[in-house]
Amino acid sequence: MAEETESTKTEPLKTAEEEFKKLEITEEEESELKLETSDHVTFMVEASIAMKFGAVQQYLEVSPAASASATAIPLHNVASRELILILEYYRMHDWVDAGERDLKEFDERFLKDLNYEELKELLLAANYLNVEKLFNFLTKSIANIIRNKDVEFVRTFFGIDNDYTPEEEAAYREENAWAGVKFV
Amino acid sequence: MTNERIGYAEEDRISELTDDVVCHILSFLPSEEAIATSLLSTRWRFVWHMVPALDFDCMKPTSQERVNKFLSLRTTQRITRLRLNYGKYSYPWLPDTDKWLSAVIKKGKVEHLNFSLCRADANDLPPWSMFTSTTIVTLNLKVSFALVLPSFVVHLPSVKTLHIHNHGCTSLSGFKNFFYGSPALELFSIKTAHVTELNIVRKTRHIRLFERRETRISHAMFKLVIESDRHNDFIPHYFEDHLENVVKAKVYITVAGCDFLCSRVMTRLLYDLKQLRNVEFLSFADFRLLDIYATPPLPKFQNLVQLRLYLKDSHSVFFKLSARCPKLKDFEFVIMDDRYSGFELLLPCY
Repeated sequence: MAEETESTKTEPLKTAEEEFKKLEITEEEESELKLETSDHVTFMVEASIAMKFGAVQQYLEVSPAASASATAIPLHNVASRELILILEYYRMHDWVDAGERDLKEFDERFLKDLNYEELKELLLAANYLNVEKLFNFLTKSIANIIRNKDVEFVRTFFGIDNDYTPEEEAAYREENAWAGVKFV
Repeated sequence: MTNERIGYAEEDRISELTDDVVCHILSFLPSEEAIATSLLSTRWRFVWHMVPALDFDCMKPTSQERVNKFLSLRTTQRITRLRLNYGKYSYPWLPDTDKWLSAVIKKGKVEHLNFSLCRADANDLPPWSMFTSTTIVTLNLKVSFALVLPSFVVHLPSVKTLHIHNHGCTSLSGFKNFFYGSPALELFSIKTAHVTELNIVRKTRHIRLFERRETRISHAMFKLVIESDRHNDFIPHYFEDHLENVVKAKVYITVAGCDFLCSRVMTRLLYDLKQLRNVEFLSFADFRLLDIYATPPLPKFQNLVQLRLYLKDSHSVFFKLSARCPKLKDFEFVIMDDRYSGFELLLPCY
């Protein structure tokens, strides 16, 4: 900063400079955390994003030393494939300049690129990591997929074996008739 | 959320999803669809009893019985999502609705409320409890009658998103108590008979207001955008109709369409220009097809430093706007050629 030598600095300039210095410091301080997935891949993740993961928070509460040391925080139930997707989602949603329309387009594309199996895997990972925003997005998307679908579709989607006898099934249809449920 | 998942079984993944997760998925569905999942398998038979949502269309006289039965069969009081649709048509308001709905909002700790109602009696209000909840985060309200609430009624400390769709003839100031009663509000979106669209976004750094009015008869469109830093909050001035107090803000106005004699759009435009006479930045775009006005009384813009004018032709009555700005430093002037849709004809500052 060349202006620093000038003695005729005005007050606002000074504060602007101080602000700038503060910014520099925070940028330096932006630390990273080392995360290790179940398939033993390590990721260096911005602390600001990693701290959004409930599982990481919990781990650091139990062993606070992990944030400073080089030891990786183990994510036992998340594979690298899922963590990459989760990071992609959070980096986009954390981006200050992302407008509402950008995020909507991103979400749509994000969802389109996942098949049903991947979607369920990702939900399990999001649930394990305890990441609220993505968890809500995925559960809502799954609800939209099974909305207005027949019983067979939902069974296939969730991989459910029907263990009802035909008599039981008929009885429960009868039992829930009050709700005006459209059973297909 | 609990997790005891170990290993990677490739099949039947949903069985590894806890009831909590399944209930969360089902909470986004209409209650009758949640109930229908009891037919999937024995494991699912009673899952819907724990779904933290109440989501019903109540357009028949028997609807209330269904809701009551649903509430009586559930094994949890928690209702995170509440959606009730009383339909497009007026339907006699059941006298005890206020009571049970208040109880549900309170005991269920409702966070997301979606309520639509159309009633004949314009003097009645939707249940007051929905305007004084400490738990509601998202409120989506669709009503057909004038919605004017006294200030003490609205106390929504947790509300971040508020959507109001009002077919009635509520004036904008009728909504101001929603604004004052919701200090955490980030998005306020209003649709009424007068204003086609009004969005207020309050982020940590900036505030943005977007207003769009359309008239169907003359196909005229009026668009107003006001932007400012967070610490120059102009929204109270907007609701109090004192926009003349707004200085540190950027204002963008666009008018388009066919504007005939004494159009409401023109009246509104002149009124808003007069109100916004103290701003420092103004972008004004006039793309109307017809302009048979004599020069209207343009206000003096005391503080205006930056002006952007986009006019369809040089005969526009707003051509002289720049002469009304004594402090003007930065002026950009563009005349639109009607053969082009864009800004092809760019004139230098004069």
